[in-house]
Amino acid sequence: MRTDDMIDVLVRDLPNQPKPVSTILLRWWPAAAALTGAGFLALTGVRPDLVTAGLAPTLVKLMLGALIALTAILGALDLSRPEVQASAASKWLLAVVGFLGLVVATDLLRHGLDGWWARLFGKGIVTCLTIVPALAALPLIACLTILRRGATSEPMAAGALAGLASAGLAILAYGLFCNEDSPLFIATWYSLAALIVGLAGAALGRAMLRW
Amino acid sequence: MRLALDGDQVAYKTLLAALVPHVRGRVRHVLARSGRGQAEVEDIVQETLLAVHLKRATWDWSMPLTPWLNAVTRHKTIDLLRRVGARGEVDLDDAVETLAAPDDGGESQLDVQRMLSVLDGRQRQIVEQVSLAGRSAAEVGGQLGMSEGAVRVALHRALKQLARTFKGRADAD
Repeated sequence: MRTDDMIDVLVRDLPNQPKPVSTILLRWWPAAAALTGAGFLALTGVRPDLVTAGLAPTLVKLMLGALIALTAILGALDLSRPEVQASAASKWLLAVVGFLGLVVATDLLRHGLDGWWARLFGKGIVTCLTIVPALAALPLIACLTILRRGATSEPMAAGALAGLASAGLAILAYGLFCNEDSPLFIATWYSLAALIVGLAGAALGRAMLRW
Repeated sequence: MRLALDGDQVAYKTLLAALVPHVRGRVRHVLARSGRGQAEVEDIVQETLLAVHLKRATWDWSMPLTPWLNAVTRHKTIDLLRRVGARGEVDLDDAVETLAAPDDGGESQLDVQRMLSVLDGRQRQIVEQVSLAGRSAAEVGGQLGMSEGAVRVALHRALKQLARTFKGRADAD
């Protein structure tokens, strides 16, 4: 086939205008997360003391989830452009690291080092590390499927960001249920849960985001 | 480019034609630098054009076009190097041949029939009519008894199928 002939074919196909990735992603990805999150909370219910004793720590969890979701999804969208490097797209995640530092510092300033071991290891570790990834699975698949329309030069990094972002949304639902309130617990195990989903996203992205 | 992406077919054709020498230059450069033969230049140029077309929504209108285009070209070239690299094949004859060869106006190594053979009958007819005979979607539609819109959809699917086939070759090798 001659290159000129190919150009003619492509020109005829111009009326099929592809939609920007962000338009589709921002419509379906939150919907997938809302669906699983609402389903989960309908089964388990929110924690009973949500608006009393649980309010302050729950707000910390929601802020952490929202911050991870926002910074990672902006990065993933950025990285769906071929000329964008992974380092530039991930720089917003520093905000998450800063927030985690703040959470840990608050804990240590308030309680000192006494009993930090007990504050770190609550009873909910296994629950946290299984339910957050489970809630993130559907949004992650939706996110990666939509990102296939993009053209990333770094499929693993883009997949990792999609995983982190989906874990962020999962945390929004899980945070309303979880009653482990120590800041040390939240900073450690919520992050680890998000990293697990991030790793899964990287592995899936490597296979799914090639073009 | 903006005009072209708004749906102006004349502008789009001018644009794609103008991109070709730039893309070809980049591909040759990358291939030469990695010590590869130049036999597959035109294949990569065409794969790149196809990717430029299918992925044009990922170009941010507020940014210059060149970095985006270079990234797409680089991606497609590396794709091929990986393929060829896996076979461990460096064809010196190709390199010599290319140095000596005059510009052939962009004839790809891929045989038309072989490439189009991945398409089903109807898709293939449409691509042939549009590309080789240069007919419009409306004309082809009239001839095949399809609406103009249906021809456009079929054409679009055919292009995606071709892109997947390029990709499939990469994965299989």
